[in-house]
Amino acid sequence: MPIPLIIPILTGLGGLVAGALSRQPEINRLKEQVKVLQSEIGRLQGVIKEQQRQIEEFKIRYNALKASNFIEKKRILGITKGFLYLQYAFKEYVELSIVQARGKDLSGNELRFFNIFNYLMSEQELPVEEKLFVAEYVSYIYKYQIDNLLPLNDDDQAALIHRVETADVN
Amino acid sequence: MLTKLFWCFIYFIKYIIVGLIISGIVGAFFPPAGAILGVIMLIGAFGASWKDAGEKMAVIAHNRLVKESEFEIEGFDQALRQTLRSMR
Repeated sequence: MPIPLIIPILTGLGGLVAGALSRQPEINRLKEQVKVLQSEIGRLQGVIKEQQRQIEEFKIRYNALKASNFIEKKRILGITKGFLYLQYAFKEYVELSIVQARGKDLSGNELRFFNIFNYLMSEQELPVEEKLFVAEYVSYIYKYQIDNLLPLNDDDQAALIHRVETADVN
Repeated sequence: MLTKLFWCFIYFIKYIIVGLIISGIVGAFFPPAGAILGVIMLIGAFGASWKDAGEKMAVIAHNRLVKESEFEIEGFDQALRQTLRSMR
């Protein structure tokens, strides 16, 4: 009786090992990516600060517009939200890079989001549907912040930077 | 729901016209076969038009979502370009 059990167990273990090995190049690439982020933490901080500055600028422009100018108001509101989607998507991307570099698996939606954003970060053009998925994914997690036009605050930024700095990817 | 019914009606008319033409041609030569074909096509027209209307509604909903998110996508693209520029 134990012999028939050995075959499926061995097959399962073999599958696990093969799966882990096939992911290894991708994990190594992500480890390198996180190391680059760690070595260029100042630039990462600068990117986030610049995004925040732009969002604040759009918020000022939005508040300065009169209600009668509703078309322009709607446009500026949309653009501000677009900037917020990008900022929170960027935060998620950095965090998911660290998670994956540690060898952990992502859920279906996380992986889809990560792959789409990875494409975008490598300057490849994607259809609108994919960008809408990113917006939908981010607004599901950060609904309150996006609805209230709140960019990443200083604490969130510091926490993200700290997470990158302390990520053990060796 | 009203929009779906409207599109269902439009597609139904389309299928009925096609059905009338085909069963009319067949009926001119074989009247009983033309009548049977006409009845089959009439029954099939209900399901087919409902299915087509469903697909049309999905396309309309998608287009509406893209239109509504036009400015958000514009902002997203703008922010992405700036982020990529500052990361180089």
